[in-house]
Amino acid sequence: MLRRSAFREIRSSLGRYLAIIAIVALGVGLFAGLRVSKTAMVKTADVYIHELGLFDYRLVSTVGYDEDDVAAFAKLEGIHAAEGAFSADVLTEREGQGEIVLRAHSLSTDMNAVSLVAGRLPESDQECVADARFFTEADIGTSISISNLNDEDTRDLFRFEEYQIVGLANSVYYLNYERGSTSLGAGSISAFIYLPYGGFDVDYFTDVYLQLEDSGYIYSEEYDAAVDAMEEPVTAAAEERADVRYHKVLDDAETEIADAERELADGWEEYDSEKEKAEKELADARQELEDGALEIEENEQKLEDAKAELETGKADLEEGWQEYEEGLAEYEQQRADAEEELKNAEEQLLDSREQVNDGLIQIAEADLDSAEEELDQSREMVELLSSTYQDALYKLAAGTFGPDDLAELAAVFAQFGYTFPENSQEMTEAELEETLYMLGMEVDRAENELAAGEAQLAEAREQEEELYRAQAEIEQGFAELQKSREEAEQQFAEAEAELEDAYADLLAGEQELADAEVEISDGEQELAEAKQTLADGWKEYEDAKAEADEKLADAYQELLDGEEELAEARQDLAEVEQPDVYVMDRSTNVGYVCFESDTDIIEAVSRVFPVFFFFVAALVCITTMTRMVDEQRTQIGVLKALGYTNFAIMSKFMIYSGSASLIGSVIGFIGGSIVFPIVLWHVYGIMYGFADIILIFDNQLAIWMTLAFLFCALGATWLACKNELADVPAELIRPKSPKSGKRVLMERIPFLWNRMKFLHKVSVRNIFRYKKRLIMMILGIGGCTALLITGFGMRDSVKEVAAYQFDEISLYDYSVTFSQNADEETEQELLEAGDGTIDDLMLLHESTMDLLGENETKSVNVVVSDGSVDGFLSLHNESGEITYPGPGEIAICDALTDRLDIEIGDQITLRTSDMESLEVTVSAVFQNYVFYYVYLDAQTCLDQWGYVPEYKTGYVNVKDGFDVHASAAKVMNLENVTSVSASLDLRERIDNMMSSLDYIVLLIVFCAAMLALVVLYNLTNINIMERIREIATIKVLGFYANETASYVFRENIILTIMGALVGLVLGKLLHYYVMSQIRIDMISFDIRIEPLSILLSIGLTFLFTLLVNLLMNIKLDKINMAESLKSIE
Amino acid sequence: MSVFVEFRDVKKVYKMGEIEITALHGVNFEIEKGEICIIVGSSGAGKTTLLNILGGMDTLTSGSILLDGKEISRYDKRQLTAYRRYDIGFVFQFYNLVQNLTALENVELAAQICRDPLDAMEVLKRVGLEERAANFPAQLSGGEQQRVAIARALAKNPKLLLCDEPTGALDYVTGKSILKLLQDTSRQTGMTVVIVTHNQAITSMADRIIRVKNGTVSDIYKNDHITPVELIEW
Repeated sequence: MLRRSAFREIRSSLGRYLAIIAIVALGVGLFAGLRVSKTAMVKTADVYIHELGLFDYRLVSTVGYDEDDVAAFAKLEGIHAAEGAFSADVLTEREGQGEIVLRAHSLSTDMNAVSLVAGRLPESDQECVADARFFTEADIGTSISISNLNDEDTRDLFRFEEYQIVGLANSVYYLNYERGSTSLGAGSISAFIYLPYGGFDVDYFTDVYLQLEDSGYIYSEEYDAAVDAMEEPVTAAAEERADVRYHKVLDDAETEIADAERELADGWEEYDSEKEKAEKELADARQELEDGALEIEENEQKLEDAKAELETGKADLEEGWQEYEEGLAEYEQQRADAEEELKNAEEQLLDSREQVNDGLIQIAEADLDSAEEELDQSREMVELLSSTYQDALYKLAAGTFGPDDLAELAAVFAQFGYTFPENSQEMTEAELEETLYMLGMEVDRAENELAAGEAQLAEAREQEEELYRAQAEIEQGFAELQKSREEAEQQFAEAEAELEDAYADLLAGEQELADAEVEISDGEQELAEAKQTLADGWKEYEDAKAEADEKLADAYQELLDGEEELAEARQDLAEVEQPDVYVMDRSTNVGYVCFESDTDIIEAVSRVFPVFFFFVAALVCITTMTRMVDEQRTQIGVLKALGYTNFAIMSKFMIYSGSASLIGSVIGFIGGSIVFPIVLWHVYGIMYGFADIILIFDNQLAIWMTLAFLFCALGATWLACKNELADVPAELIRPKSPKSGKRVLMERIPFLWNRMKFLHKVSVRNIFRYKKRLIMMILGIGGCTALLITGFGMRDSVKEVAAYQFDEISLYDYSVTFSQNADEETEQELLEAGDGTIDDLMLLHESTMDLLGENETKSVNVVVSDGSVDGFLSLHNESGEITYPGPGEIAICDALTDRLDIEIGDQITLRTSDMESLEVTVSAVFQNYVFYYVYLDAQTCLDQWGYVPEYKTGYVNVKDGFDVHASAAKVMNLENVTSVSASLDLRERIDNMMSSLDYIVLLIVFCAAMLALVVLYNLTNINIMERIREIATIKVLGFYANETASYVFRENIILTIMGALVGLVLGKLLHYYVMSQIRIDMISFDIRIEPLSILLSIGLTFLFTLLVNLLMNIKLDKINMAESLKSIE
Repeated sequence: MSVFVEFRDVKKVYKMGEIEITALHGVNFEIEKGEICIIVGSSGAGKTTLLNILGGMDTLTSGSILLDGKEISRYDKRQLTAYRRYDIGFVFQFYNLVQNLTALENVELAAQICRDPLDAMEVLKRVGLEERAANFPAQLSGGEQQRVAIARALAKNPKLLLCDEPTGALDYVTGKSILKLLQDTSRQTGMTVVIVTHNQAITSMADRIIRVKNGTVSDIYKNDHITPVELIEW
């Protein structure tokens, strides 16, 4: 019956019931969630550490360890396993990327193992798994190559020049994001890689890791005790083995040095002999070449001579030819002349012969015998004639003549062809005289002719004689001619033969010359070749000499180096001290240690927030229950009058409050245990995130919290009920006499009070009428504001960190790391490479050193410069710029003063990784947010060390309007530049990291909002329920809806203002506390709350109030005015 | 005298889920200005509904109500509030004083929202409580509280004073003194007073009596023989 009544009560006041559940759930959820988060995270880490076998001891000795040592360690009692490992820092290159420093570890499956994130484990010695935090899946399959910038010793550690990434992994050795520092590159390690031991070219281990047989839960006291217990035997063993190894190494080294000495001596010997040999060979070669040159010279002379000879020969030949030609011409001439002569002679002879012949023929023809006959005849005739004619003339003269004489005359003459005229018979004497005269003449002539003929004949006879003589002569001539011809022929043949001989001689001479010419040209060719050969020979000789020289020089250098090395080795050997042994436990592992302290942050947060929540929740719960019991007063009276026992009556309320608390607790516990660890793990994923979170449900915590809430709720109910039940039923049935009105303090200040509006007075008086509610409201609202302020303040403290750092402190645009000490030349090169984009730059030394505090040693970034940092750095604190530290001074960042408890004027010690120390006085403290920075003057180092550390870093400012990255890329190409990092990038990285803290902020804001809503809802609800009659009355009085609302809510608003003010103070404190608890290495927070955040927090609080008021206004509207007519229950 | 309040065929049906309950079945009556009108009826007769509707705290289902010539039955919520604010003074059975305000302040609470309020102290004086002005309700007796309530209603200077069982929570003597106060007030100021009661006895002090029965007006009559309050006995 009562149970049904309880359920009906729940149904009828579902809003209130749910509100109780909500606030209980919130309180429990936040408490359980935050409390369990650390446990869950540590548990996750514990499982991960056990699974992958994080070492319990790390043994390092200055002489290393080997297999024997490891085996010896493994045999130690209480040691579960020992494993040797090798690790080395190395500069590496990747295609298209700059150089980065990696730490290469040997891969193990049992100790300090890795958990694969992607890809696979290495299968060959040339493969590796890489840091999943640094590399991306896209890098799988790419290669990492060992940079040439590494010194030889480092390069020698690696068997290969390239290692292929086959997988991405997290390492238990690196639980958090920190990868440690190194002497290489920019001083910090970018990422790790794990490769098989076979990938290293070494025969010893740098570290030996031990696992205890029973190591226990991480961070537990048992674990610490177990580790402490084993420290002594482990240290002893480590020292002993180191000693063994030391002697072994020493012996080896001595042997090696002896060997090396021998080798070196041999080397010198060999060098000398080789040198001699080479020199001799070279000298021989030189002699040969010189001989060759001489020969060539001789030959050249010979050739010249031959050429001259040839020229003379040619001239002689020419002459010969001319002579020959002349001889030939002469011969031809002579021959022609002789032939002509002979021919002429022949012709003459022939002519003569012909003449003779002709003469002979003529003579023959003339037939001298006949001619003689004829002539005899003619003489006869002429004598006849002359006789006739003389007869005739005597006759005539005698005049005897008579015609018969004439006819005889005519007949004789006719015989002579003389014709007498026809009439000759008739002829007168004159005519005959004449004819006789004529005939006389004829006879004269014929006599003449006959004389002539006779002469002629004589002549002809003479001629014939002569002809015969001529003929003989001619024949004689012919014979002579033939003879002379033969003689000439003979002579010519001789001359011809002579000429022919000369010709042949000439031809031969010519041939000889041609041959000589060919010979000369051949000679020349040969000579040229010989010269070329000689030149080649020289060149070869020079090359050989140079080569030999170089080889010798190299060999010499090598030998010198060897000697030096040997000397060094001797020195080293002499200097080798007893080995230092370091026995380190997990407290030296940054990830392991940080994880604890970082999870402590959550615990720190969980110490403040949940308790706060818890109290508010409990308070609300108590108020609500008390109020509810009050409301039910009449019913209690009735039930009591009906005879129900107090317990039975109470149980109704107990069921109500108990069930609400229980449900709220369960929801809150389960929800909180799931949501908070997951969200927080996600946030911590920036730093850790090596595995999925293991959720933990802390049943004990659950029980305790449930009990606590039950206690609050039931206790409050019980108390309230007890008060009511103490009265008799009759009293209970009657309405409780209303609590008297009271004057408030303010009324005693008429100045204020009289000036207030009437309704405001009412509100003021109402506010102070219920002190309990007032405190509840103020606490609830104040808490809400405080939480919001804390949340937003956390964000403020975090979000601007990067901006402050890079807008106000580190002003340079990018920093450049050089491979060598940078000087003015480097500066110049850089400016040129920047191609006009660089405005200004400064060179400095930047490295990591240990700052030794009293209790703690902090690794800090040390900047050594000459102090001209204007424009690159702005070192300032709240009171303004600080001056750059002078010699012997140091400026440190503010975070260090807190962490290490250092003040201005303190003496502090800085120690380099080479164990060199600097003693300096703190001269100034400056604001800094990212990393721990300290600044030194170069003079300080010079004074204390005698040298200034290498300036291998440059800060660069880019000219306005130029892209920083573009400028950085230009500079990156310089040979001397190993890396360039833009402030923008770092800023972005930090921003990203910080932005994930927004999750926590969001979480807190959400919780605060929920808290505010629930508290306000609950209290306003109570307020309205309590005053429902009053509200109905003023509605009846004619208050408009808004007037009614403001009549009621004015109180809420005033309470909100008061709460907000309280919250403001509370929030500042809470924020400061929370921020002081949250510590992230590398970042120092700028603990502050922006006015906007305060406004926002208060604004949100008001918004929530408004929201609740709006929600309540609906309820207010629904209040029936008829309520005012009802009797008081 | 002119008709001041007029109910014409007023019906009121309450819907409670699927059930309809008719509280008033066509009520008709008139009240004249300056009258003291007593609406009397047994529990559940509908007199409270009548009062609620007349007081502007509830709406009617059909019919019309006129007050001083204005049809208040057509008023919307806001107009009704204004009507309550300016035209109606309400006296509750359980006084309904704001516990956190002194007697004077309770009067002022009502007065300060009116256009033409009476001086709070004057009104308190009139109800004879000037000496208790600074007391909180819890420090006053029931009668005194009811006087404060009346003073609060009067301070608004309303057109109509509605009283819901004003003597219900009071003892005989005190009740009578309250009724006397109401009667005197009406007589002195000409205020129209409507008293809802189940007490038959006091009807004799009214100018007009309206009997309500089962949601209807069973009888309306003017009382020609008004008995002074002092003489009424119950």
